[in-house]
Amino acid sequence: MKILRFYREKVKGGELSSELIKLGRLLGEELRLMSKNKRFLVFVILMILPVLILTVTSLLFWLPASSQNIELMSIVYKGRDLTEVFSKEFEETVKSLYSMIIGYWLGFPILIVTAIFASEFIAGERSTGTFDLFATKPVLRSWLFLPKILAFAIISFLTASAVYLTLVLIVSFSFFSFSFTALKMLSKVGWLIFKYIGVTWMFIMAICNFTVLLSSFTKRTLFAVFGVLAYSLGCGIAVSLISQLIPGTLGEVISQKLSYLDITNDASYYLGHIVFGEKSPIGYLVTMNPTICLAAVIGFITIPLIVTIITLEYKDLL
Amino acid sequence: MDTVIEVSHVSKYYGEFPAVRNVSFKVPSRSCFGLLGPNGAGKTTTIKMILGLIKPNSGKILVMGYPAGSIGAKKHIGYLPEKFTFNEKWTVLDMLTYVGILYGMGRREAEERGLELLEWIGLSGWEYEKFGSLSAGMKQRVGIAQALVTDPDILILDEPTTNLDVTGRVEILRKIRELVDKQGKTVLLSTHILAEVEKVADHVAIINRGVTIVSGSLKELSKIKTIYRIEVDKPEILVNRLKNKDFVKEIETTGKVITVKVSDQEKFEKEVLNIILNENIRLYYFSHKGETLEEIFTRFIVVEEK
Repeated sequence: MKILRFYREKVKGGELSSELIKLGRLLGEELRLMSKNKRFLVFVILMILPVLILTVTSLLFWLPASSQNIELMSIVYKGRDLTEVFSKEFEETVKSLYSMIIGYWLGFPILIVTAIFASEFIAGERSTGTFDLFATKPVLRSWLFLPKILAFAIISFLTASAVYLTLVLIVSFSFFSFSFTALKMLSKVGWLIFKYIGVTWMFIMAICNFTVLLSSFTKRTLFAVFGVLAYSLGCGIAVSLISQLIPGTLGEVISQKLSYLDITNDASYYLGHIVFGEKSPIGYLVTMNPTICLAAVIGFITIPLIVTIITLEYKDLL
Repeated sequence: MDTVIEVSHVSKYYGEFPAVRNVSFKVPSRSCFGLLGPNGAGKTTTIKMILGLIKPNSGKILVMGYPAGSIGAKKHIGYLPEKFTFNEKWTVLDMLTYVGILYGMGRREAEERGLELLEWIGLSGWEYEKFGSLSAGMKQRVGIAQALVTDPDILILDEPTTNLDVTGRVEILRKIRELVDKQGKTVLLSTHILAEVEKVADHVAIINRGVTIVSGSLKELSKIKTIYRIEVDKPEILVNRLKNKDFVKEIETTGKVITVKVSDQEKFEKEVLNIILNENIRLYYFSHKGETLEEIFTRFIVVEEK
């Protein structure tokens, strides 16, 4: 009740419509500032690094060889729709290519880069005095970091989409050269692309929001980044140790429960399940429930954000 | 006179340590209010509670009738912190534009206002420079500019002349007075430099060890003790007649010159006139002045510490 009374007092004198308009303007401003931020450009480059390498490789080796294939295939499969003929093989090739990079995308490289960037949203701004100065302006404190998170969500979604689409296009052009058939093949793997983009983006946002929560307790960005790293490594080490130290069913049960606390595990397992089903090529220490994995990832996105909003409004900014 | 900021019996504890204890004062509208006190007195803590950055443990603070820290209160305030720092990678104009948006302005409007303010503070041409490339004095000026983006009714300035040279200080003090006199703003000024407060403030509150020692208009406070210097031909007669009067606080003689500190100007002047006429004393020189702020400050702090 005390907290409710506190928040009611905080919003006195404000109007919901003007605050929402303000939020929209702040989002626009954050997108503009992010595009000027060198650190963010580094983040985008690191995200697209695997696809850059693959694109260069395919331009040099695969694509020149494929231009003869389309002519040959049209003769061999005369009268038949090539997109139907090669649908299964195409999908398997895309899945193999995605599997090559998923360890990078749902692993420590992107985790570290995301954490470094997200730690600037609160801790970085507090260390320079920017956050505390802006907190004296007529906005809720949440408005000082929510636009940053939203802007980051938009840009990371677009970047992830661009990466996965580019990879599919590379495969498509290697099958069918630069032809309309190559573009038509995209529709055959639409759902597959959507799943990869969705899970990758959710993983990035989970890391982002968890880092933001940790950074709300400190003015040092390094503490927030190390906190996220320590948490991820700690979960992995704990699962591994327990399954070795406690043999049998008990060890398995405890390991499984602990595994759900590891964001990387949750995202990877869920993706493996929805893409490959029972035949997932990704090996796991323990068997997990994919629904709980998805719920855990969603929990890591929403719960840290809610806790950050509530505690940051309430705490003293010393 | 309306009150724009009302601080009522406010206390703040950090664990067991009392940073502020039962502080009360009222800031009248269209005035310059000086918040004075030695280092660690609780001035910055009090200001942070007015701004809503920290919550008091007890008491109440109202700004323009709204609870301190609410959106309604913050709409009326422009704030310059004691050590104005900012993200060094932002440009000056980006910062001022962002502040304008936080106050509800559109982007273009905020940008135009930012350019206008940069011209006012003498930093035209620096709008696209990174904040980190500015000198300390320039950063302070930008700090003042960001406090004025929406032309707020209340300005809270914590040590506004820090890092400014003599010319800069004079200019800022002049501008502060102009904001009060010509634009009807209310300024709450926290500073250690008493001479500056004396030049611009109408009212003061003196805080020490988290407690309000005294609060009131500068005129009223300086009348508490007014100092007279009188040169007469028979000082001993005048001294004998005055020394036991209740409105005479201190009396000192150097040759034919008497220095008297009084608490009631009117009574003193009437009495001196009577004595001079009745005792046929010849008067050579008569002058008086109010206590300086430094004298008032020292007196209250010394009394409080005793």
